[in-house]
Amino acid sequence: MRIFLRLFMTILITFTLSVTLWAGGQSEAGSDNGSGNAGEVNVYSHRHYEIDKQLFTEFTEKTGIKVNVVNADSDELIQRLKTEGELSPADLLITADVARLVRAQKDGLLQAVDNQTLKERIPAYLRSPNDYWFGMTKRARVIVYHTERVDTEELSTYEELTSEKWRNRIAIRSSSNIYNQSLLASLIANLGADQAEEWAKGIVQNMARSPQGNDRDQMKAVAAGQADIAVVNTYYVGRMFNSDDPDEVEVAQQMGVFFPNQEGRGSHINISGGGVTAHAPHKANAEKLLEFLTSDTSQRLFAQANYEYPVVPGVSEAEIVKSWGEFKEDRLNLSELGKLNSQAVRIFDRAGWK
Amino acid sequence: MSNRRGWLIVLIVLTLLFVLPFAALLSGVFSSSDTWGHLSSTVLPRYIGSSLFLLLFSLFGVYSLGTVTAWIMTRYSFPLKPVLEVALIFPHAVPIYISAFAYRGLFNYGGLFHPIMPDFSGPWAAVFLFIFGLYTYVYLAARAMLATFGGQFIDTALMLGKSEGALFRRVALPLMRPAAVGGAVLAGVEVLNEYGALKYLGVESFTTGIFRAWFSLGDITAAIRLSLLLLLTVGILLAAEKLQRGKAGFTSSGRNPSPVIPLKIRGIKGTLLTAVLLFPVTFGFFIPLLQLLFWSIDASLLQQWGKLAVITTDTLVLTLSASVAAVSIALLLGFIPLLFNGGISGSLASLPSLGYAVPGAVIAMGVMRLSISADFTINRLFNPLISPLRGEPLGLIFSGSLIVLAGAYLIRFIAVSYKPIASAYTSIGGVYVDSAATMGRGPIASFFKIYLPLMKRASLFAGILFFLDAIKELPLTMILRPFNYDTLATVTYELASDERLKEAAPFGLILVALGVGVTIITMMLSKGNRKVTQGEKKA
Repeated sequence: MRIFLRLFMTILITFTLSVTLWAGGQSEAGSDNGSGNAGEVNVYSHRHYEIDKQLFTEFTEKTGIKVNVVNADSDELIQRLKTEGELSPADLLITADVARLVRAQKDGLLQAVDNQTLKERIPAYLRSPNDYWFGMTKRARVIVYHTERVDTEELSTYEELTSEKWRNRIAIRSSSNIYNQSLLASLIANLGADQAEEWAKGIVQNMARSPQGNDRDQMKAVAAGQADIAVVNTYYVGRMFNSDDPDEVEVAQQMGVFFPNQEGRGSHINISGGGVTAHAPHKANAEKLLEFLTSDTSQRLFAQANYEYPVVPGVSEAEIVKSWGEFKEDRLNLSELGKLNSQAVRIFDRAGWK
Repeated sequence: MSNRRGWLIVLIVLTLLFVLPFAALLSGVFSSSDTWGHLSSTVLPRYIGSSLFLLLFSLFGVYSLGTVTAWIMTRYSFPLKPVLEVALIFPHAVPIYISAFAYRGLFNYGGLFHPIMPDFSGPWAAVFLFIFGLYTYVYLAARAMLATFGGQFIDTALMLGKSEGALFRRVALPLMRPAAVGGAVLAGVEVLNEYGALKYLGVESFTTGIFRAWFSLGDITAAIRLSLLLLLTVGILLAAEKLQRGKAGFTSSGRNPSPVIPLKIRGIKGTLLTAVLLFPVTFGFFIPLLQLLFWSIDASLLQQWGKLAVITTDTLVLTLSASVAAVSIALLLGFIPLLFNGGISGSLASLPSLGYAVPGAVIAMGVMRLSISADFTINRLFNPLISPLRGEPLGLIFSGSLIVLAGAYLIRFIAVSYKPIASAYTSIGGVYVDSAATMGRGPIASFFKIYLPLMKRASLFAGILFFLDAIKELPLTMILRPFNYDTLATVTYELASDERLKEAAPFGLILVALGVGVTIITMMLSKGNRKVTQGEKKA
């Protein structure tokens, strides 16, 4: 028995040691902490679009800096940053929504970056007031309607969607979706919590079906006649319109895009953006990457390939996006959306919005 | 007994390794939570209701379908049986979230079934997917039980002149029960664990609730408390299963388990049996598969072949290594209690199986906490020595490494390997350890010389079940994977959740094909095995 025990312990120790050494070698190969000439930048990104990968490759070709990426949900990435603390290899956090950037900032996971280029190129309301994060692309959350069943005359504001006439006619996704949370946060900021809660309850009452699927799915429900209008992000409409899938194109062709609240404060917008992490080992490279992503070329590519709105003024949009026309944006500073996020989630829960 | 103390230490060390990540997580449970009150007053009752609904109906379906198919397959012989022998396990190779995407694609605008029914969503849709995706747990377990013990009981019953119906009700059902309930418990845990599909179908459950508390509200304490409630539910399920198994233990009376000789059914009746068994295969496998195939062809599968090859290789290397490790550990975990006649050692050995009850994302958090604190400790201890030599601190060693990811798979899925192995050990019993001991041979000898050869088939099943689960694993992989690393599951999910279903399809297809391939190989192996044993018997 002793022999067996000894054998077991030997195997255990050898295994642990070899794993440690192997893992050590791995991480050495993977990251190049601290050294000034390190040709790397480590990105934690929620954005999983082809165009991002393309842009990272171009960045590497141009600067020689290799881009390493972990793709996951923003919340998971934030949690990961939190746990990793000062040992985190991440340099840049990229999310698809401003509320998550604000949360990362609040949790002390980002650092302020005094970068003139970024400040000059990105309008103030699309970046953190104290330089913790920067918008990369912009999207509007709009109403799409079935062009045959709905007249634009019927549409006006987000608030009006709670009126009786939309009973069982609205398709909108789950309240766990961050875009809806930010939309509700904007309503809290503009109308106050009580009215925002009334709004959420009103929408729940008018839903054509229990929330499911993503924004594309809502438009499919409208095309299928399950609902007449849907609330979606603009780039989804663009992507469906230009899809390889004829069914999706057919769906998109039946949709009209309506920008709500044009008479008042403007339509709700959100950004996808990034911030340099608090313990970034390659801070300078992270800034370079951010600068690259806000260059005219990158901005144009974001706009053309993903139908998002560029954050840099003067860069042109994709044809389909242009065809929807100019619109008035809600100029609420986006950091407000982050601050009101958890209040928004609670309101959703109380309103019974799944 | 004293020479067996070493084994107990091994068992304790192993169990600790599995439990440590939970301890790391539980240390967070008493932190203050400012959303708990809000959650328990608003959404908690809904989560409980919805989870119970899913559990009740899915398990009813899973149990009925699993036992009936297992019985028909064991008792009768009919047209296409060899094909069904393999095909009935195929649904297990299709991740529930992939079937969800496929079915929704079919019922959605432009889908084949759209004109018949315009919608595939809600709790009933989820129950449907669960039944046809998870019945394999019950089927495989019940099948193995019948194969081992069926013969002697059925022969006896037939001698007593029992009818076929009575044979099923009075003999087969009670005989299958311990194994089938064990399988159903695993399926139930899978139901409680599902996230991707439920989110997509718009169904609330405990798991979506955990993610909501943790992600949407950023309250990890509330998330941990919810997972504890979930854990409690599963604990009760497991305990109940243990109880019923304890009452109904079977031991083989003969030296050789006698195989069931199937009754030949021809003509219309035979065709009918074939048709009945084609049902689960069609809904659980062929329909989603055909949809994936159709999309893949549409998306010109071969355009992405480079990416497909790299990701497939990465996935295989990771999953296969983890499977081998899982079976080895399960063999050890199952063996040790035999030396002590169960008791505390038995409970200890089944403790690691609790990981199966915890959502992947929660395990990922625990593992991450643990590996990061190990990294911090190593850095604190060795940096003063190593930093000057290396010119930089050690940095992260375990965190974000493949070893930790594989370890997390073990924690999450060891139950799947442990169940069939433990029940095989139970059916063999501890007698051989004692008889070896009377001949002066120690437990090591009896483990390698007697038990290991007898465990071949169970190990194979344990390995395949683990492989099939690990290769499908999603949330945990998303959180723990290293930089620039993807598995088939993560790519499929990323693309599909963005509703780029056609682009996702080729990756999903490979995922399913791999599962199916492994299933077929295993079936062939175990068939060869059985022939050998039967041949021996004749000789």
